[in-house]
Amino acid sequence: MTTVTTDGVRTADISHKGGVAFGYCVSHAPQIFTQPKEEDPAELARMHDGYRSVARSVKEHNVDALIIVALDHLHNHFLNLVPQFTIFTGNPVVAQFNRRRIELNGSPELANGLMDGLLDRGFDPAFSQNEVLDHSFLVPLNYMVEEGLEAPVIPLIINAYVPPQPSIRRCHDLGRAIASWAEASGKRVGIVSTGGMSHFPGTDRFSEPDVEADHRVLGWLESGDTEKLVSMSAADLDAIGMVELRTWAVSLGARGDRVQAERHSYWDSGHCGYAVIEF
Amino acid sequence: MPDEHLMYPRPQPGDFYVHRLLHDMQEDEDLFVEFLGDSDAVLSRYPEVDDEAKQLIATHDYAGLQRRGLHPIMIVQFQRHIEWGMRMTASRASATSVTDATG
Repeated sequence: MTTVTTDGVRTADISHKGGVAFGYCVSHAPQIFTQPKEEDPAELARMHDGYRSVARSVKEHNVDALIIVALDHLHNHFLNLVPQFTIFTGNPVVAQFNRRRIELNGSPELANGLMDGLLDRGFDPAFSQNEVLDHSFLVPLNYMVEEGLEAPVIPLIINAYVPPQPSIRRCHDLGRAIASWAEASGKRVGIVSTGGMSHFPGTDRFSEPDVEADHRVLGWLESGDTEKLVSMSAADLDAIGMVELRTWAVSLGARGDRVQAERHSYWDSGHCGYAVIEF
Repeated sequence: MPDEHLMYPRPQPGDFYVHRLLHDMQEDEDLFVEFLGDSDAVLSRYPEVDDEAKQLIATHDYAGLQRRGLHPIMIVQFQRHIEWGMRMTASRASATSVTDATG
């Protein structure tokens, strides 16, 4: 078992000390869950196997908490108040999509510890004690429920779709701050980020994801050239359908600047690049 | 607005209540069902929403809502909700006609 400290160096077994034990990034398109007939069932089955594999790995790491980084599709955070970062500090953690509703253990103590740790490190996240999380949380967490995840879950909600959003570098730095808190507090956590890759829901470009951009970004991450992603502007991300990759940047930052991604799977579904990668 | 060229532009403050109406129907199933049965009754309770926007919503004119500059995520979730509601209505009608035919 390895971890990566905030200076980007992989370290040996950290079962006895705090840090970020893993970082997974997965897509959360609702079609992964609803499995419409337009989607290739063989490819969907492969995706589901990948999600279950991630869920088993998350469970086997036996972390003190799983931080899951996703977004809100204007369900809970409507235009009367749009926080850039929100930590869910309640218990239980509830997510719902269509008729599927799941509950996982939260940890107000750990979540509030993370809140305090981020406030000490130059971040001012909002917090929520009561909201039903949407499909961006449910899709990956559903498989973790099926695999019997016991560790408490700390949801972190990022404003991905309502401008002005936080810069992707700010999200990366938030990941660094999370790692710093975990190391200082002796808490061993893992991070699963959900979103992407290229897609344009609700627009004329729904059927035109930028597949070339997907491969370009995956190449950067696999080669460790992560600065190219972190230095992208909000307009750049918007233009290639990757506003949600702000969530990935949190995992990336938490795992260190020199970390290289391992690609578990990628599939261009015709409307979204579905990916499972690990930092 | 400096970001009006974006795929996901900054929502216009003047359309706050149009978004409010879409959001209310998105989150309140009873209101949405009422809208499917009697859209005028629901729309009349939103005096801040102008007639053009009410017409776009009543006729499920998703492209028109997009041209108006409403948030794409709100539009696609409204569209999915409408399509789901119509499937449910058709399914119920089909079940009723089978029951009628079989006595």
